[in-house]
Amino acid sequence: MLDDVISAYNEAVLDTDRVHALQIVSDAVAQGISPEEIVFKVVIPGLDLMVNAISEGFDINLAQHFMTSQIAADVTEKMLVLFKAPPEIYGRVIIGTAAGDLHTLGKRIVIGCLKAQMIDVTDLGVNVAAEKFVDEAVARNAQVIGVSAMMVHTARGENGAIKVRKLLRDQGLEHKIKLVVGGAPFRYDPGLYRIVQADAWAENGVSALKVIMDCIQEVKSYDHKHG
Amino acid sequence: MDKQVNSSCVITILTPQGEFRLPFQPGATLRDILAAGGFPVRSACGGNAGCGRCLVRVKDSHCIPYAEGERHRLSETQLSAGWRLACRLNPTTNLNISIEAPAIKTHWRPLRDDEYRPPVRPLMLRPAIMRYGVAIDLGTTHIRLTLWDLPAGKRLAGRAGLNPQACYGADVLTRLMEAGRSKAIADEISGLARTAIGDALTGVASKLAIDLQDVGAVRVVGNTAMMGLLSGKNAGLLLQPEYWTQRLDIQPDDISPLQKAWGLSGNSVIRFITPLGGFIGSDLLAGIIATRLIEQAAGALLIDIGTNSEMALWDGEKLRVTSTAGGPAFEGCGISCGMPAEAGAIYRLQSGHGNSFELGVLGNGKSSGVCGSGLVDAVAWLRHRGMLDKLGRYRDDRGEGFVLSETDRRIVLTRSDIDVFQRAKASIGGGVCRLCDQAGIAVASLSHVYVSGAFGRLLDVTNAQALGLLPPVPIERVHLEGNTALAGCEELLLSSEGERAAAAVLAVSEVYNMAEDVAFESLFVENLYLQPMRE
Repeated sequence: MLDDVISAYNEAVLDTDRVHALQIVSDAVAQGISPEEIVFKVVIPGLDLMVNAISEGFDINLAQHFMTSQIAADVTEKMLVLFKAPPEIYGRVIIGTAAGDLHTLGKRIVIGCLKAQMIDVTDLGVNVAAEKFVDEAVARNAQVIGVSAMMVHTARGENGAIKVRKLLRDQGLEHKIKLVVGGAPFRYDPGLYRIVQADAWAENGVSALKVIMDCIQEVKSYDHKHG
Repeated sequence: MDKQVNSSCVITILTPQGEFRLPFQPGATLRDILAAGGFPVRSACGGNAGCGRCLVRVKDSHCIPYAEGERHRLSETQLSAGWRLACRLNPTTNLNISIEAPAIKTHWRPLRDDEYRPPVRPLMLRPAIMRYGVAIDLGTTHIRLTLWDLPAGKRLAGRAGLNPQACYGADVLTRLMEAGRSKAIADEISGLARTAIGDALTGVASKLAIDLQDVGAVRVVGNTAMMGLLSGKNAGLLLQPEYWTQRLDIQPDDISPLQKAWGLSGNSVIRFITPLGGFIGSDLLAGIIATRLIEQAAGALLIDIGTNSEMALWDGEKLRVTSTAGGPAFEGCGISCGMPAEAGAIYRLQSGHGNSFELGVLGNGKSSGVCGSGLVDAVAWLRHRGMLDKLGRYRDDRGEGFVLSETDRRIVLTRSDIDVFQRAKASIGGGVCRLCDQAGIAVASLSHVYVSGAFGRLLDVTNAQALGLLPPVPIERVHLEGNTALAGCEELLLSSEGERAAAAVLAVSEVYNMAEDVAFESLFVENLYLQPMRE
C-alpha cells in the first residue's frame, strides 16, 4: 500500500496538483500509515528522486520546482505536529538574498525543500548585509549560510558572498560554517561560485537541498574529528 | 587615437580594416586596454570569461600562461591556433594580435513601416524657431530616430540601428556594472551611443541635403539606464534598490558635448524626457502619451513587451506602473530558434489539413527562425491539439522537441524554449494581475488593452489570450500599437500638448517594484501555466 501512496504522491507532485497530493496524504494517514512514514518514506524520498532525476538531465520546469518544494514543505509541516516525538533536526541553515538584491522565488524553493527535510532554516529576508549572515549563523549554530542572488552585480558584488567569505575567514569560522550560493548568474557562469569563494553552488532550488545537506555533513564530520 | 601614454609597450592590432599600433600601460586587461584605445571587442558578460566572445588571436600565444576561464571557454583547437580571451589577459610587454570580429560600428538602416507608428491625432504644432527636430528612442538593443520638418509637422526620415553599447553587455545591469568600474569606461560607453547617433544624423543630413545646424530641438526617450548612460548622469544609482521606484534626474548637466558630437548649433535644445521611476523610463511615459492612456475610461492598460516588460494601468484616478523582467523570449534571441521579426522569421502558424500546420514567413523566402508572434502561435497550436500540457510538458516523447521546419534550416521548439516562453509570459501575466488586484479591477473587465513593443502588429490576440499572455477581454478592446515610445517622443517634440500630457502623467503615476512583492511572486507562479488568465 505504501508503494501505491508513493507513486500516487509523486505523480501528483509532478503534475503540480497540490490539492490532490494533500488528499493522497490525508487518505494514507486515515488508512493507518504513520505521519513518520509519510515524511521519511514518501516526502523525503520523493525529493531525492527529483534531485537525482534533475542531475541525470530530466527536464523539470520552474512551476514543477516551485510546487514540489511547496507541497513537500506543506505536507511535512502537517505531519510534524502528529509525530510521536519531536524529530531530530538534521542541521541548521541561514538563508537570505544578497545585499542589494530583492528577489525571493529561488530562495523560497530552497526553504521549502529544507523544511521538508527537517532542517532548521532561518530566512533573513532580502538585501541582507554580509555581517548579518555571519552574525546570525554564529548566534544560531548554523552549519550553512545560503546566499541567493538574481543579478550579476549582486552575485559578484563586493558586499555579497565574497564578503561573507572574508568575514568567515577573519573570524576563523571556515570549518564550522559553509557558504553556498545560488541564482541565475551562477547558472549562466558555472565558474562564478569559485570566483566569489563559495564552498558550493546549486543550479536550482531543488538541487540545493542535496548540496546543503552535503555541506552540513562536512561540518559535522569536521566537528566530530576535531572535537 | 591621440592618447599620450608614458610607456614603451605597444599592441600591434591587425583588423579587417588594417594594422594599427596601440601604446598602452600595463595593469589592465587586454579587453579594457582595447576598449579604451578605440578597439572594443565583443562581450556579453562584462568581462568575466562568461561568454567567450572577446576572442583575439595572439601571436606566440603559447608563451602566455592560460587562465582558468580560457580553458573552460576555448577548445584545444582554438587554443593551439592562438585564440585567447581578451578579458583574461593582462599584457605586460608588447603584443601582436588580430581581432576577427571587432564590435561593429552601428549600421543605420531606414525605419521600416512595421516599426513605425505615426502620431494619431492632429498635432497642434509648437512654434519653431529652427527648422528641424529629432526624436530619439534610445532602446537597450535598438536605437530608432526620426527627423522632422517642425513648421510643416512632417516626418522627413527615420533610421534604426543596433545600440553599439551591446559590446559592454547585452542587458542593462551588465552595462551599468561596467560603467561603474571607472569613469573611463563610463565615458567610453556613453561615447558609443553618442557617436552612433551622430553617424545617423550625418547620414540623414547628407542624404536630404540639409544642414544639421538648422536642427533646433532634440527629444530623447528611453529606459532610465540607457538615458543615464548616454548623459553620464546618475545611471549608477540604479544598481541600488533604494532607487528602484524613484524618479532619477538623468538630464545631462552640459549639453554642449552632445551638440558638438551631433553637429548641432549651440542654440539647439536637447532634452531627455523625465523617466517614470526606477528603471522605468520615458519610453513607457511616451507610450502612455501616444495611447492617451489617462484620457480613457478606468481600466485602460498599456503593456510594452520586451526583455523587461513594462505596464501601466489607469483606474480613473491613479496610474499604476511597474516593470517585470521575463527574459528575452520575445526579442528574438531568448529561444534556441529565435530571431527578430525580419525576413526569414516564422511569424505565423495556423492549422492546415488534418493534423498539419502552415507557416507564414516574413519576406516569403526561406525560414531561418521564429519571432515572437510565431512562438505564440506555435505554443497555442500545440496546446490546442493537446500535444503540450498546461504545465509546458510535451505529451508524447518528442525527442529534442517539436520540429517546426526542416526544409531550410532545422527549426525545433525545445522543452527549454517552452520554459523560457513560460517565464516571460508569467512575468507579464503576474504583473498585469497584480496591478489589477491593487486597483480592484477584474482582468476580464479592462476597458482597453494596448500592446506595444516586441510583437509589433503581428501578434494573434486570440492565441495570446488562450495562453494567458494577454487579459481575457473581448478582442475589439485589444489594440496592437507597434512602437509607442517613438510615437510619444515625436508628440513631445512637436507640440506643447505633448509636454502638458507628460506632466499630467507624471503627476498621477506611482511606480511599484514587483521584486519586493510576495503576492506578485505567487501570481508569477500561477501564470506560468499555459492557460487563460484567471478572471
